[in-house]
Amino acid sequence: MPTTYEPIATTTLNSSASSISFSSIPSTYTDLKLIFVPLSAAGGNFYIRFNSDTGNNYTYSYITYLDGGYAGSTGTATSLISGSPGLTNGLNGTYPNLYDININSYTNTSIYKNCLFSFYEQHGLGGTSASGGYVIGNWASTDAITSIQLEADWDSGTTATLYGIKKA
Amino acid sequence: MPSTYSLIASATPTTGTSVSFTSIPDTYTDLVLKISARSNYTSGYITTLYVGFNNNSSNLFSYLGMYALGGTLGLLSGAGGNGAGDLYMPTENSNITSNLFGSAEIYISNYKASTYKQFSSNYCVENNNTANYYALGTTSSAFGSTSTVSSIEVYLGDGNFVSGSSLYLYGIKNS
Repeated sequence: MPTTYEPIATTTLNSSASSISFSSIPSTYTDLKLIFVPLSAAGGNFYIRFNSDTGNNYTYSYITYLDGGYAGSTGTATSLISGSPGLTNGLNGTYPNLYDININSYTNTSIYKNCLFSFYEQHGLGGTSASGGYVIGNWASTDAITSIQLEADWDSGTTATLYGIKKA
Repeated sequence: MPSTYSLIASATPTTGTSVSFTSIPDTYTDLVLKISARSNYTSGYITTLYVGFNNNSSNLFSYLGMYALGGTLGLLSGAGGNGAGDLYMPTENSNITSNLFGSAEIYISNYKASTYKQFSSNYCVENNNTANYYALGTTSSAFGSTSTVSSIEVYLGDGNFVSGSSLYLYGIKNS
């Protein structure tokens, strides 16, 4: 049986950085999965772009939970996909977060590209200061995705691994 | 290229309130636990299932989750003395369809890291009858320990595992 789940590249930060990029993504897979474990003492949000496109070609919708409540919204055209939308505590420095980002049919030049991701942020013991949710993002481009940018104030120790998944 | 997504161990309990995976090798980057389970508890439609590491009972676990349960949205949160990742599995209550099992995936990232451990739970139960009883949800959890995760314990909140339950532990390598 052929291997259908392969690591493409891994980044582990040895110092702080404002962007993590995966470039020259091979076109030999069907889908992509990005497992992202960020550390960020600065907190706040982070952003995803494809092919370094900074135009207003993205939309996203989400449902999130944060301590005592929920949030949900649909987005209008913007220049990025928000990684932790609707949250006030977002990333945190003490506890690493976990993001599971799935990008389907990334080489299909007939369709706009969707990404679906879930995220988990448990910031303290006792069930407080935690959040999570689901985000669906769309990049209105028929270009194949050849690079991914993750933008925020990342700390040393942040890791990101991009996997390729083949249908056969 | 070596296999990236490999089965480490499996369990098919027919009774008992917990399942343990011990001596987890340290040769992977992340761990994934796939669960299909049902409890013989009869006093409620569902029961919780939660996950602990390293047999730790020092109140280092915490969780917050969002769920839809029988058509109602809710949050669950708390601190677990010996586990977190709380999710719902079906029981053998008379209103629950026979042979119905819940499905769950638990992802444990960087299980060897010297940081605290973040892990996720996603799960669903669909009763598939006119009672319209279902549950689905997602939970964020943390294990406030810098120790490598070398064992995983899975606990039922009520009752015992029934025959047909299965748990598969996979390791994922990033190179």
